[in-house]
Amino acid sequence: MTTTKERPRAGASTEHGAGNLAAQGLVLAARNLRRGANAQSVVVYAVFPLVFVFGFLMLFGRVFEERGLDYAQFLTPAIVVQWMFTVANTSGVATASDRESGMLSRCRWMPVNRGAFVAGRLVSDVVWVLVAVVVIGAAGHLAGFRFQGPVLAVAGFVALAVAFALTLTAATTAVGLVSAGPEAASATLNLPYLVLILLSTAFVPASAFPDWLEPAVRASPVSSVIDALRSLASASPSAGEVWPALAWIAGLLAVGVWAATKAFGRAR
Amino acid sequence: MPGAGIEVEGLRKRYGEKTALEDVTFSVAPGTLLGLLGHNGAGKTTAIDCLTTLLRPDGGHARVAGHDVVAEPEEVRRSIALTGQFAALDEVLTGRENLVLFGRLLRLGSRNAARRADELLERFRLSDAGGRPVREYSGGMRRRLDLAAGLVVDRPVLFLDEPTTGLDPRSREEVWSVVEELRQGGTTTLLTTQYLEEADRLADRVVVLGSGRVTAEGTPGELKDRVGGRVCEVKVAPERHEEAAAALRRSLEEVSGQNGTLVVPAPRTSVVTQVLGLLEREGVDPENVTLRKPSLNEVFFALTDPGAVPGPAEESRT
Ligand SMILES: Nc1ncnc2c1ncn2[C@@H]1O[C@H](COP(=O)(O)OP(=O)(O)OP(=O)(O)O)[C@@H](O)[C@H]1O
Ligand SMILES: [Mg+2]
Repeated sequence: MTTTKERPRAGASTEHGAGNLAAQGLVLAARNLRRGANAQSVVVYAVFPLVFVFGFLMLFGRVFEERGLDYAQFLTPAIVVQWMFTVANTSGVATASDRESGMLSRCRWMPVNRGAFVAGRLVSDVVWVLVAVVVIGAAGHLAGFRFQGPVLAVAGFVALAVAFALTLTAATTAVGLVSAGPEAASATLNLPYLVLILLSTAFVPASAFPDWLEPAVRASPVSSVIDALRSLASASPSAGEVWPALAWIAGLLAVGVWAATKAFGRAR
Repeated sequence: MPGAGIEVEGLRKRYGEKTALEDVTFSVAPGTLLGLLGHNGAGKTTAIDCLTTLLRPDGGHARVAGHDVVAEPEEVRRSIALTGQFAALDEVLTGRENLVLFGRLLRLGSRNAARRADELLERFRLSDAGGRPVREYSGGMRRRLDLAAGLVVDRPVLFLDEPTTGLDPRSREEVWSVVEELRQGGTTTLLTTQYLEEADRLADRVVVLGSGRVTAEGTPGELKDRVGGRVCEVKVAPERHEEAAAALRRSLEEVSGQNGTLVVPAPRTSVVTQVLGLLEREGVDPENVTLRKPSLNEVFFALTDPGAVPGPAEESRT
């Protein structure tokens, strides 16, 4: 004997289905953006990339030029990746603060699609990523950075940046959901960010690291993504430079989504 | 909606080693208001969390509006409104934006959500504050907004977790009148409170939780009669407290107090004579005897934990 569970009438459910997920995810994304769009974050987004691009250029530009390297071309993709961390960490802290304020609970006791909360975060993060890429691209352009390849490579550059940011966001969301509060989340997220970005090819080539560290630096996910972005911005983008980044992103995304889903189910 | 009651049977929940609910059974008839009374840490919020699908119970059954909380969580969520112990609002958004957000999450459509938000702001005297960010609201305004947020769509079952804790008398009165109005409209309500007075004013029936168990149940009138309108307080030497308490417990129920102060319900004046007789037989010489109205605290202790010594209230989570 089969028993069929009675379903709510068509259109009556506010919880199941892609329609609800999309609509509620967008409503939450708009709310996230509304929260984030304050004077402070506008300044941060407009000013920090300029400071980073021109600051590093002033510090290292001459050294690299003497070695025949175009530092603006080298640096700009790294600043993009650095900002992907900033977007994801900010998102993780925002999740922790939603948990603290009860907004997360609200999304759990109201008949709202179970994925809407996380979907909302991802969508608003994509918007921030695009803003960051445009601002950093413009700052880089002033410093001499150019997309030297075909338009398709530019699209790939943006897509890869977005994919990497979302991968990081999945992980930072999980941290935000289990941490004791926004401050704790922020503290937890800052350390891995610093370690990962410093032990990568973001600001100096892998060859500048001590011999014993060089292989690890080369293989790190952050280096892989930065090197892929550099390749996509170069005159001759190569698939061989992009694959390692895609593999890292796929793997980390799976782990991050699994952890975030598990944490969402338990969060109170 | 007929049949929109709440039935709880043998509900159990533990957090690790700590038992929060043990074999809790009660029901709320459709259209009535049940007051769930209990001290800090009694398990009130845990019970509400189980009934609103926020927590999965470890044992027992619960049905809300005819739907099992574990097997049919979505149906339960579609039948309930909740105003939790701590306001669940976006502090950065304005009051109005909060209400519109919740309306849109419930798929009202932007125009309906906006209209509903304005109606609710008006009803809760928040129209003037509606454009200000919630972080600038006073505690009472926050509570009212949180209550309004629960009413964005009409639901047959309403959960209110300590809705008036921390409110001034006027705001408390306002919350009460909204709750009464809703009940008149046929909403089934489960309200938790630490105040007998509140339960007395609003509830058709009261369930008293003490350390995760139901310790008393009845109409407010029945419970008050059980404690009696007056208490007899006896002072004895603190070192003889236990002895005196044991003597009284032999013939009297619900003896409470500590450090040489013993309190028993005294619905009749003859209880005083009885107390004195019991103490004399035990050879305890009382220093002082008074007959007075019970404080709310004493009613509470008598009902939540008969015989227990009132200690410092368990730390409440914030
Ligand atoms: N997340 C948790 N982890 C561990 N123990 C918990 C948790 N939540 C509650 N408890 C414990 O379970 C018991 C019941 O808590 P609950 O919050 O349900 O009480 P309450 O009646 O709502 O109290 P209050 O009046 O302070 O709100 C308490 O002893 C509390 O310490
Ligand atoms: Mg509570």
